[in-house]
Amino acid sequence: MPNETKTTGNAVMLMISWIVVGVPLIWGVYKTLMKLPVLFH
Amino acid sequence: MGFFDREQTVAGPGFSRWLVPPAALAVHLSIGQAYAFSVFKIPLTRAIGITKSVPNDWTQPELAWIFSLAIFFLGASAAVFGRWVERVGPRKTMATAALCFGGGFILSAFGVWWHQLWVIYLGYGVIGGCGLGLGYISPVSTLVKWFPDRPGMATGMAIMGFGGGAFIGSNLSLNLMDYFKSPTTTGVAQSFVALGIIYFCYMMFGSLIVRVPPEDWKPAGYQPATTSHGLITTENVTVDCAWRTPQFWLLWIVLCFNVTAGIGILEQASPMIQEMFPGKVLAAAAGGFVALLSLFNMGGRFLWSSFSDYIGRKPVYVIYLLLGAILYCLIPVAGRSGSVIFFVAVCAVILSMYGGGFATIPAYLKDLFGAMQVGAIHGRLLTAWSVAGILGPVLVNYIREYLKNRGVTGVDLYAPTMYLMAGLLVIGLICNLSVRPVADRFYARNRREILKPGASHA
Repeated sequence: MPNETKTTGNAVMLMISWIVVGVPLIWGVYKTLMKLPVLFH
Repeated sequence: MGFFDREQTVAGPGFSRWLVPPAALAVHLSIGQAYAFSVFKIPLTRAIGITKSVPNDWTQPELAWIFSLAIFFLGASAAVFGRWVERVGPRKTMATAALCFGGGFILSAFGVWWHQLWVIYLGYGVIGGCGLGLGYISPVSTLVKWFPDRPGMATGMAIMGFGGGAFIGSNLSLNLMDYFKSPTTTGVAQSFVALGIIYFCYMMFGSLIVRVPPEDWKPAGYQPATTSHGLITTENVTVDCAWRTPQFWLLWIVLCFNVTAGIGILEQASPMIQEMFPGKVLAAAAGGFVALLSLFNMGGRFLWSSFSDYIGRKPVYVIYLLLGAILYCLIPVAGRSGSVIFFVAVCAVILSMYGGGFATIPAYLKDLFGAMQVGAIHGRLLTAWSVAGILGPVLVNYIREYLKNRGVTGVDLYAPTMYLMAGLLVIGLICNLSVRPVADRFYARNRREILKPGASHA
């Protein structure tokens, strides 16, 4: 197969995929960050 | 040809390679739950008594074996099934990992209902552990092939997910147990069922969207090197040859000691900060300290590994090991200075490099052995993690107990362990500096023959 030089992809699928993994990760990090203030109190 | 076969996952024209990191993250964010398994420990010790432990309830040492078994089977399955993973491709591997990990949770739920600990050992420890190992290595070689221009960033992103999965896993598990608990149940079994279903679906999502690049695909504008330079080879080494090279064992020691040292901090983070700063840091603040270390552990995986794409793998490990050794020696100094901020900053940088060590190793292996079977080679190298998982806590706990029994307190209780960890990192540094390009005789000659099942790779 000849080399591809461009990968445009399906923008909607790309967005959905990143939201599916990004939102839980951000939620987990946020909940953890909420535990930090007590350290520097 | 089935839906899960490698041939069905070859990307068509127009496929964006940026869909592959979310697939990898879906798997790693799920299996990262393993780091959060400790949230079930106390409720499991009250499986019968519900509000407090009663004589027939499980004890903490009995329950500790669940996590130990899971980590052991993570390393063992990654080492044993690495070649199979390379042969069948990422979709089938991720689906198998989803079945094992999700199924392990469901089986463990029955173990709680029947109050049979061996069922949990088998469910979460053995079957779930195999899911961890398969899931951990499943996206590595695919990512390296999609991102030949930035392998450190790509694998760092996935392995960062393993660190991030702990944050999701701990909070999700606590919420589920709160939801399911009642006067007659701790809610652990029901939470296991829910987690099994959630993680199975989440990992299957990764399995469905993952694709492998067509043969000889390359990113737009990327010109691969035509000749090997420095440690970066243009050749390939099979997994069976790779582990006969000195380079494999040098990196095995590097990873083992880097992880051992990091666990030395993680294992004792909470009691250490409280005992080094008596009266200044209480239990709640120590919990915040552990959370901060986990964040640096996760962030370091992505940042350090991405940084290695610019400065090279060997130099970045020189930083981990040399700076790490210096910082370990500074921990007692920080303790004696009475500065909590100084102490926290030193530990945070150390933990970022602990995570970085995990995340950069696949790219280091790709540089030395080529991309062809890097997932399988990585799988075998993960046995270093299994060894470190035992070595680190054993060293740290025995030294601490020995000193405590001799009446030692405060900073002096931890100083010898920190110096020992610094020593291990210096040995790792020497091993890293000894890494040279792989000798020509180890290079594979015929790639198609090698990928055939049962082919000889001698």
